Amino acid sequence: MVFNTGAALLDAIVLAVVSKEKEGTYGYKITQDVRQAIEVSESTLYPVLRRLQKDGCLEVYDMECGGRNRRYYKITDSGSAQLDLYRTEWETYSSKITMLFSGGELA
Amino acid sequence: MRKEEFMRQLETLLADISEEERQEALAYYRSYFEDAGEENEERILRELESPEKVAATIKADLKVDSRKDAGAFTERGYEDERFTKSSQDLEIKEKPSQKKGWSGSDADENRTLKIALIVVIAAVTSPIWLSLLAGIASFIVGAAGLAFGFIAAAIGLYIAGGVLFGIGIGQFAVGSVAVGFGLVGAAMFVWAVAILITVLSVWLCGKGIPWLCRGVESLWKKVFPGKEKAI
Repeated sequence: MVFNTGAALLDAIVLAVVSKEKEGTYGYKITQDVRQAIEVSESTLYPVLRRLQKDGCLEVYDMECGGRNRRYYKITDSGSAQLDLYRTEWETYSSKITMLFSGGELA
Repeated sequence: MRKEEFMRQLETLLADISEEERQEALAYYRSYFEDAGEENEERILRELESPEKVAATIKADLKVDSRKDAGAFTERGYEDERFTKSSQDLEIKEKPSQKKGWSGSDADENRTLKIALIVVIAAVTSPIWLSLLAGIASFIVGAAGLAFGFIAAAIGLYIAGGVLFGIGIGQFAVGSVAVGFGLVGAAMFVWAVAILITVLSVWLCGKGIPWLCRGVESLWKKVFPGKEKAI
């Protein structure tokens, strides 16, 4: 990929991935889902998830699954609010860039 | 490396962060391996590269809480200045603590270890740096000798000029005027050379020798680059 993904955009992508699963999702699956959009290494997402958890955007709970505990991540209300903010920002940002690329005038 | 080995090393490497953070990280990666399944184990271990790298990534984020200075994803993957800079330090620092396990006095032991290491290195390399020191000392003595030689030559030439001048004046009075002019001219020439040498030796003492010293110093730094930092 030519373009860099900054920390805020990565947060937004992770929040979006987690918010798709109403019952929550887990680290391995989050990584695979994020990888559908951008290249990340297996070790990238732990610090991101941990930070979002500390910031109160994600909550963590353990659930029994196949005889062992699986750690689930679920988006919180403030996480959803943050994601909405990111979505709005992204909409503005990306549409301006798209406009420039396509040679149009900015409104 | 198997995942058990990986987890064990990661646990040791994370010994210096808080219990809570360590358990969180270990739970995440344990769960990660289990969710990925055994068929993916090898691929994940390869992509994680090393427990050192994973530990450094975790710590880098703990150190700086603000996300503004954090790294970015580039075409070469995830890049984080904090991490690339410290990864080497981390590896060096953490090797000893790996063996020591959970002991708390890492700093003290590291210090003693470093001093011992310096002594050993100094002893082993003594033939090199002793001869180097001797070389530099003789170089400085040589330069001082050169300066002294210049000064002596200048004084000699002043005296010689004086003598020639005296004889020339004498020739005006008692001998041929032409010889007198010739000798006085020669005296002027000798003085000119003497003044030139004086200027040269003043320059040598004031600028040349310090310049040589700096040259030696920079040469030393080239031979032993970043020695102080490395130890």
